[in-house]
Amino acid sequence: MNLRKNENIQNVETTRGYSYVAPDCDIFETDGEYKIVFDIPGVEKDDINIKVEKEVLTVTAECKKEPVEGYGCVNDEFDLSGYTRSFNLNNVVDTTKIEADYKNGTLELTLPKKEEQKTKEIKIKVS
Amino acid sequence: MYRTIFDDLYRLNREMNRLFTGPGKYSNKAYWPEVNLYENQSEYVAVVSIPGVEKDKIAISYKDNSLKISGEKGSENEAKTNYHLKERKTGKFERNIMFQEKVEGGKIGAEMKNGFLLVKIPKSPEAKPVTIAIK
Repeated sequence: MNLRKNENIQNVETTRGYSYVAPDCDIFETDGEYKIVFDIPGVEKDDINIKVEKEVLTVTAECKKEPVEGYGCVNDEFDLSGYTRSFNLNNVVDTTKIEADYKNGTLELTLPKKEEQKTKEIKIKVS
Repeated sequence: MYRTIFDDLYRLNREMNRLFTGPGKYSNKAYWPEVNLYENQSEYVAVVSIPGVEKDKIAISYKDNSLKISGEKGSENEAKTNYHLKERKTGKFERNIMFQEKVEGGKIGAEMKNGFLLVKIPKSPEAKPVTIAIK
């Protein structure tokens, strides 16, 4: 199953309220699991919120602290904002065994496939 | 961090500026990361957004009042290609930052913090403002 096609595109645009953007993300598949990797720079580990509700995986993260404080900005190329993105898992993932690892601004989620979804090899006996 | 209706316009403007002032297609680098530069009276701080890059993959050098940050963002999963989606930028990157005021190249300090590289560049004493007392 292609997880990419099951992205829940949320309308996150508001004129008031906290600003969220969809982070860049990689999704790839191995025999036993799916991996989703998000680039979410500037976020502390405790501010990441991952939840699965009704087979929809949602990752939300917020930048609570500016990287530097008490300085004037000379060159401004990126904003700090929150990140949110969600994918529909369509019953192919064992949601109780999802693992997350956050390192250097990259969040890596490991989603093991359900037993019946794994690729099975069938050997043909030649007689 | 609150959003106004003009935010997308500002972002477009900023991205266009980056396109025209960046190294562009003549560079052999895969991408150039976003840099926010801050200053106060005694130092500059460059904040480079490079999530997922290990500390030993980054090189910082200083020459002629300009700072060069280069490195490579590898993807260790490249070999196992069965991608459904690939949006994260990978490959070699480079940024050069030229300073308007004289800085002390020997005292540059850098640290990694949650995917941001923070480089602190102290200004040279000649560049600092001098207070003049009125007699």
